[in-house]
Amino acid sequence: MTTALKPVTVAPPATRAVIFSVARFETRRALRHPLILIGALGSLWLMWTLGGDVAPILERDSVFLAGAMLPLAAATLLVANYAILRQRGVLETLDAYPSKANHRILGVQLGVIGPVLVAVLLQTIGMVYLLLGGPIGTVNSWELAVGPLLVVVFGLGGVVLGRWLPHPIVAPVALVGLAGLQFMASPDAQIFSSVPTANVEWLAPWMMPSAFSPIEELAFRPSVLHFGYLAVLALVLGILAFHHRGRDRLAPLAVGGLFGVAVVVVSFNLPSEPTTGFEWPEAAENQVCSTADGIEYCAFEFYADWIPRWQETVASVNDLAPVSIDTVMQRPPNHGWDDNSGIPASGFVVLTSLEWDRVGGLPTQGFRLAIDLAQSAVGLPSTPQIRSYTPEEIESIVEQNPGYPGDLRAPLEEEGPYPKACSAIGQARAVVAVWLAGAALAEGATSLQATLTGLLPSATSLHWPDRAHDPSVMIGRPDAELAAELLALPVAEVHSELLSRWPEVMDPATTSADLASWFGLSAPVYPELDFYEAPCR
Amino acid sequence: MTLLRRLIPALPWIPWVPVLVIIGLLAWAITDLSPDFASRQLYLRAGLLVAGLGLSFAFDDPAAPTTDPMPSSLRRRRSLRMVLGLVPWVTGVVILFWAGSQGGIDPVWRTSLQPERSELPIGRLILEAATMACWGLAIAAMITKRWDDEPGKIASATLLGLYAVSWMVPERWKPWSDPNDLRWETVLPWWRVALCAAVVVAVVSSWDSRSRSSPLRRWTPPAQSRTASSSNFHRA
Repeated sequence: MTTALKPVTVAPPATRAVIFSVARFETRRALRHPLILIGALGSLWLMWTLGGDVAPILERDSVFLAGAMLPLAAATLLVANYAILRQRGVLETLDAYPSKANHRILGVQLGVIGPVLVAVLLQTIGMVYLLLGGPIGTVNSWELAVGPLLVVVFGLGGVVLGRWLPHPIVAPVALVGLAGLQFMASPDAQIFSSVPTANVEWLAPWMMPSAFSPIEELAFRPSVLHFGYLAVLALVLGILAFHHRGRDRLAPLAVGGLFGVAVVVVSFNLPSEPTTGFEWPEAAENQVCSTADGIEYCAFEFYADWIPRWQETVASVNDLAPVSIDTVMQRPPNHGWDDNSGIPASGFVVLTSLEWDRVGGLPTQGFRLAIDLAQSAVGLPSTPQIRSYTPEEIESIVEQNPGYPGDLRAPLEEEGPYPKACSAIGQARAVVAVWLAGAALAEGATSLQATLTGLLPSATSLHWPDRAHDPSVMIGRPDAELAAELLALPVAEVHSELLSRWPEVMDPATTSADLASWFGLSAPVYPELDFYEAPCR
Repeated sequence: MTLLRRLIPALPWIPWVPVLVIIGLLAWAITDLSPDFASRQLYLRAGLLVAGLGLSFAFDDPAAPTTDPMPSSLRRRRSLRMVLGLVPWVTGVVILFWAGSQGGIDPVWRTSLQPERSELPIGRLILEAATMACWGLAIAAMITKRWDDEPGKIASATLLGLYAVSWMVPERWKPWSDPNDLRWETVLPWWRVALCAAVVVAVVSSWDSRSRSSPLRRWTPPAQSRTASSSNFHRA
């Protein structure tokens, strides 16, 4: 009696079932891959870095939330690429399975859904965090949708690289190249480029916002064009990955070529400089203003919802010592350099930062505004004085620059009046100004401590607000440290003592050592200064 | 000498093609930037990373199971592989330095002092490049000692991840420093320690014969799985 083995005739599974089966496997594998975990952590870190501790502006933060998905997208590119390379390593085994090569590629492409879901989850977490932080503005859906789309494009890009250039070095090197392209296409990099280019900002994976034109670019970004470009790019990459036979082999070339031509044509038909139609002087004239307690507050339309928050800070300082300002106005970050439009002669505070503090967060911007106001309360200037260099200052600058080619003294003497700081180092009122700012805000002492901790060991002075080009007053580091010591004492006790000696406090001749003696604290010790600055009168 | 002759064709040269292409493109982009180190440092450092990624494939040896029992020691073979891999690596680094010094920038050797605007601190950049390359090799050596004969894939991805993480750490611990940054000198010990650590790891991992203990290698299919393929057949 003999037995014979006969193959069972089993109908091959349906194509859709095979594809879904492979896709499920690849999705699970991608989600479990350590690179995706690292990429997700990187995205979380970037989300925090780009706007975790400042007041949310939903238009701006929609852009940042999308950009924060770049680490996850990069990880997805590597994982998808390695999945294709893994398949190439066991082709003979896989060919025995009831799935065609294109089905397996499609499975890997669909496996990108896993990281996309991670991106959506991260963005949802980010959006909830933003909504809890007292946001202004509205969400830009096109910009937000770029985040998951980036993950799709990078994932499909990894599949194409694995198909056409099957070596594990290609994906990491391509990522470095993509990072380079990302920076080259950024608007700020193009400012410094010597090559006149077409408008290529929208071709970067993520349209990086410009640091030089934050408002105008935010208002006039080609968001829909960029989203459409990425969507079509994803489609093209999806097609390029498949195996084609016979005449179909020309299809990927045709699709890729058409896409390339379309990109070039659109780029050259866009103006190389963004035509936003946004002019600072015009925007300054059309600011939204409101008056409270005799002080006028003016903000760009976009930031009008922050006015009540500025009012709260002013009221807090005013409760401790009457401030002597009439106006709090917002100006662009380039104020003092090339935009001084609509600034009154005196009695004002200018806010050049386009950020404010997150609700419940550390009052960094609030402290800067409070210190400006406090300076006005103790008789210090709240804005830089328009003046020429004094002879002592010129002498100090010449001494500091012994290697200057030619005569440095003459151009300094001839230089006209320009916004300059004065030195309040060693003056008691500087200490009081810092104390007022710290005492007025709920977390003011913490904010001051954070500022002092962040100083370099060699720093001898500070100036608020953090505008390197137009500080109004230089405050000595020992004076700020003395103010921190005062903040550790009961506020009511210090306040009543200061009010009782207010004429002395306002006197520029009263020193920080005098102030320290009122409270039984040790007198500050001042390091030798590298340069001389005219004292505040 | 015989070993060297045999090794040259056996080395993974293919990774260097995309590496040198990207380095060439970066070099071209660098010459377009304004002639000062501060403007060019990002691209220079990206190029040095790419060179390090290429070198992390130097220990890829698919024939390792065959060549392991040969009389030449592992450290000898690794040393030769590293020396041969250094040829394209040095080529890439030289291309980058050449591009970085175009436009009137003077190359200077010092590592600690902050460079002037018109100086290219070659000493510091070589230190950074060597650290990245050595970590690529060290990771590859660790992987190939324990698990895989072709560690380049994991080593390059790990090196890339470490590079990204090193940019993400808080400012005070970040090993990277701008030439205008006062931390330029203070981060120098970090680089020296990182380089020494990489060399130690690479040497220790390459000194002795391999001791692979991958769970995959030890895994044998259970009896049921081995006969699973026969389930499509039945006795007639």
